[in-house]
Amino acid sequence: MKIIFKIVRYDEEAQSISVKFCYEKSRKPIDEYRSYAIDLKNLDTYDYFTFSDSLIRQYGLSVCEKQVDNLDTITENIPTKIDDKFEVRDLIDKVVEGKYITRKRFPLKMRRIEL
Amino acid sequence: MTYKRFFKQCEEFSICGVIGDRAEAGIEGAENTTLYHIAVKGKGKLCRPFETDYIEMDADGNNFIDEKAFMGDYRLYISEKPFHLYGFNPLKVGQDWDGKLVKESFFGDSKSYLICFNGSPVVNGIEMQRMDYAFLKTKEYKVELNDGLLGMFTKKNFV
Repeated sequence: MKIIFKIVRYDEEAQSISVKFCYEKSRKPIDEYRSYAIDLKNLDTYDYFTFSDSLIRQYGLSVCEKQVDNLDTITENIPTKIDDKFEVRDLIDKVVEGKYITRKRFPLKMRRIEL
Repeated sequence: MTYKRFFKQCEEFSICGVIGDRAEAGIEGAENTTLYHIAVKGKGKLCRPFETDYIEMDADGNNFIDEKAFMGDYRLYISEKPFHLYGFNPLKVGQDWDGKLVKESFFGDSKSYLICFNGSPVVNGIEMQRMDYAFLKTKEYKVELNDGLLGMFTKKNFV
């Protein structure tokens, strides 16, 4: 899911920003979410990609996860606990949490120059 | 423990990077399209899993590895100490590039990129920093290597 953000305040003197986050597919406008004050020294302002990557990894992901966690899970979607002994047939017709391993990759800083 | 992967998509190619602070083994799937690996730090081996033949990579020796022969195969990387590697990749499967290290002055063409992988080489009077890159033109490039690591990559079969 895409995460979107909106910087609603920039304090140049304090070098801080106030940012709102939510998932792009949220049913609520981003303006209705609360904003978070973030110190720019905690972010990588080398370019847009490093800025966005550091902002989302350090703040956006956990904020959006919390937004979703705060929603109620409808009874029909509550996943079943899976036993250690795994058999595909045991999963049939059960609601199961889709666990997966993420492979983290960070932006590489490169600069195009003229020679 | 540090083990970090990096990636940057440039205009006509992409660069991946990996750093680790201890000996590691890693495997890449057959979909991997890396054409060249450049070792900036460390020493290790590259082979196909379960095969006895391998290529030695060494930042102080064989530091520019042509991996075209591994295309479509699994690749096993084993480092013997902390390491720092970069990989040069095409944007699309089948796009071929010629790669080599630059050690001295040369005449450029309009199909090539120059990438600084390490050090501070000076090219045409401009000091390059690590991971600076330039698209070349048909003119002379005067190189003072200064122990830097400069790679040149030329498009072969596409425009």
